[in-house]
Amino acid sequence: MESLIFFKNFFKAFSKVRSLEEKMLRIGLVLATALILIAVLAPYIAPYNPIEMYIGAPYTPPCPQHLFGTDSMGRDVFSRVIYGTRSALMVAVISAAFAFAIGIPLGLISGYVGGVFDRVVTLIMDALYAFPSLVMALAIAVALNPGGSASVFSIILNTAIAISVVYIPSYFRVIRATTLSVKENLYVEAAKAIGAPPFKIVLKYIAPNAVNPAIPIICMNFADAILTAAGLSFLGIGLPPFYPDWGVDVSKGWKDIPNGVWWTSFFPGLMIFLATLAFMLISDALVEYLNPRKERLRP
Amino acid sequence: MVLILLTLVFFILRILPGDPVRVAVGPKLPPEYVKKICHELGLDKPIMVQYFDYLWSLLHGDFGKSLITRRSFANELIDRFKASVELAIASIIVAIPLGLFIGDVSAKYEGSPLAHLARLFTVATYSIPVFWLGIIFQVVFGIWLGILPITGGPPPMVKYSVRAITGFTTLDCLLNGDFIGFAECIRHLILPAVTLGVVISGIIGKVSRNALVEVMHLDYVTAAKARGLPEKIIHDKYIFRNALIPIITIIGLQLALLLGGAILTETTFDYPGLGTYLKDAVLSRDYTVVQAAVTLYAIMVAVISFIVDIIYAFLDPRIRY
Amino acid sequence: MTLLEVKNLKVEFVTVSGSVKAIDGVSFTVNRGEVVGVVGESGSGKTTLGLAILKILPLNGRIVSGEIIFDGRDLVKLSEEDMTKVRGKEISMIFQDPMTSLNPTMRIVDHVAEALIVHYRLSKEEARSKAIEALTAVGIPENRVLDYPHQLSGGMRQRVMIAISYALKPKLLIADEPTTALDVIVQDQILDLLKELRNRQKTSILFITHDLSVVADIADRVIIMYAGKIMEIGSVEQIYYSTLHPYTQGLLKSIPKIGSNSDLYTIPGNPPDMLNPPPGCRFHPRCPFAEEKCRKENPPLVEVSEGHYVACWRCVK
Repeated sequence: MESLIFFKNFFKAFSKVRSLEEKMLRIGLVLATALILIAVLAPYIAPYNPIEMYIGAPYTPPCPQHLFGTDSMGRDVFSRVIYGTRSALMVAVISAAFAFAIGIPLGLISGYVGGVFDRVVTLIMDALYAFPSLVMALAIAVALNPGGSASVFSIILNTAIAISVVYIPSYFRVIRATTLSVKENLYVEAAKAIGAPPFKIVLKYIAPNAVNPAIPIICMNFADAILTAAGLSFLGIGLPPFYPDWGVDVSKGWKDIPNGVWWTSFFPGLMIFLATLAFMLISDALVEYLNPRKERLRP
Repeated sequence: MVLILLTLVFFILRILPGDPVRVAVGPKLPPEYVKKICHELGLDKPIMVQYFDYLWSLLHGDFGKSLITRRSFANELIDRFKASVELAIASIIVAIPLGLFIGDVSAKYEGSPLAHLARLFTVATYSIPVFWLGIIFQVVFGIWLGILPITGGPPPMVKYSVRAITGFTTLDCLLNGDFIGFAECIRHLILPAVTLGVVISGIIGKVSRNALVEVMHLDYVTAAKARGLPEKIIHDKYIFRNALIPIITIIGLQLALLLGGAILTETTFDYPGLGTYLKDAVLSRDYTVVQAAVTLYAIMVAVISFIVDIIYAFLDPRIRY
Repeated sequence: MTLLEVKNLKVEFVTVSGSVKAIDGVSFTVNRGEVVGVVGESGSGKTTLGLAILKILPLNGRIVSGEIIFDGRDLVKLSEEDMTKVRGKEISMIFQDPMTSLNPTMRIVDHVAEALIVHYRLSKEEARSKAIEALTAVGIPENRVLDYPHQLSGGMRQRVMIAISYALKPKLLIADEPTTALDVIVQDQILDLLKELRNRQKTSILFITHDLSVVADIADRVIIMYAGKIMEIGSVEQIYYSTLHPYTQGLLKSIPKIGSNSDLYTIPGNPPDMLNPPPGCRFHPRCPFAEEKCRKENPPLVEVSEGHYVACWRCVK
């Protein structure tokens, strides 16, 4: 219920006041929609096959035939960048789904049940949270990807799992905190008093309240997943070099820089930046909007 | 907290699939030989015994032996750590003033275009891939303008010629009166430090903005305005002073992360710090090295949060330990 | 003699959902040495009034029009720089919640001393000794002056706020519900302290409250506000014994009386939504006497007998 009202108010505000949050949200939504479209329509947008070599002369600078130039193997950078959207979004969606599916129930149960279970889970989550996230993702990704002849999809899946492990604590913390505060509400007490089973209470009364604070985290999770996945690819873990992926391309293109070839790394990097930015803008605007301080005024 | 982190690392590394020794020595070696190595490293004991052995040796300051070289690597680790400390300090020197400035501007002029710009800067720095930013800096300052070296870290020439006093090359140059070497070290530090500093300044800026805005709307600030106090006093003594706690917290956290090694930045600039060391260790599955590096990080976190707690008590009369 | 004259003041707030006229054409005067009570429910604009006089409205609020003539100058036209000289030194303000109106990282004596240094350019030592003087005058023991705010009770903290005003010797003190957050015994002590301040320094006080019985205790004249407009102005006697406005009557009826067996009266309905205030008289939806005219036209504030002003169509014949 509450989330419905929240959305209604949100869009009411959306249509009336042109605040910075609104602008940020709009830009973010436009960018994100564009990215999804690019990923879906990649074969129609990309002028060339992204993995076909010697489509143009190696290291052709950006020109009308090759908008972003070509790389050391004469592959079209523009087409690779377009196709790269797919793996980036795939990692983001899968990791968010995993983290969401584990972090939220865990937070609900831990917050509702309390006691020793809660303390142990919280302790583990705090430790995970304090752990440098890239190192963690790196270690898990390395362990999950035994190297050799793994399929591209399994590599993407493993990368996503590695990232989701890093993100579970974020969902957990917020959901647990919300659960703890909602649990004290009278209507929950009342539901308990009339003998509603705990499963139902959590699902019907507590979970809906936990949705709002989780929304900005999902967006941030998306942003971080894209960024971390790119970082892992940059470090050379995961996707094979021929595969069109932004992180992989930056790490390859980076070696061309001393020869004055900047476009092979610049454009994929720009895409990582824009994709992350899209979701960060949405997340940031939502956080600000959810902040009760904004609504306060002295009439 | 340190112990929990250590325990977690220990077990995660062992739960994960893949036999580290197998990977370390390569698949072609005969099983008896692998067994022998396992025995040598104590890896054939039950996992709980391994765990307590590990903690016991840590207590004695023994990080164990590398799975790959089967030698002690404490010296190398400390060396890399010192390089990371240099980078961390340099970056935080860039990040703090920039971050506070950004946070201050976006809080003070809330609603104005300038504040919006500052706000966007914080979102952008969070979104920017640090390695890409580093590459852009390399291209602009290293290649186009040609004024700064594109690799980071003290140049080997300087590093091995200067007499080691503290092990921090930059500091050693200064202590030995080698100002040319010192300048050379600083030159090599600038790009990685600025890259990291910019990214971290965004985080500091965001946190300090939120903290400042939060305090700005509190009653005692309104009361101070009603008392006719000048803007500067209100800003410094009433707003900034009371917003410092979350700001110090985030700076401490970022510093700890930096000391744990900035993997991406160090890789981009080929910087011989803990980050690149850790990366190599993870990639070659040298788990004892990973454990040691994480231990070092955990200790850093503990030390820094201790220092931060002391600063809290100084800042806020309500906090007493 | 008039100290403060507010003429047709309008203040509005811009919010996410639209603009709110928190104060809509308010005029009144405060004489020297006089205590004027401003009474209204929460949301009536009484706190905004105090902030507007000092021009310290929140960022989303602004004075749309009107004049605030204080001691011969129009504060609305005064520059921000000149305003800082007025604030504290000539008009000071104390707030509703003493728990949050002091800087938690400053010793209480420094709160007073700092204001003295700023406004009277005293040296640190002088300011400190004057500050201690002021604090002891409002009943804070000398051994507590080096405490931090969190070490004091709510009543003590409100005394500190009063001590600041006491030390700065302003001509006008705006007291925004200074006793609401305190328990009853402490309330009385604070009221006595304010009266003493008025008697000793001839300070005028604009006493903002929602509590008519407190006003009866301290004020000379009373202003009744509702939804950003003034409903009635009069001396305490006029307001209590020849009440004219139905809203004031409702307020008076809702004060509990000892020995009365009847149920406590409440004014029916709720304060209006300030985003879309009702047309005509703001009070008409809750007024038992509302007529057709009340729904359409806003009644002007007229003087019905000497010093007694009412905005109600029933009183304009």
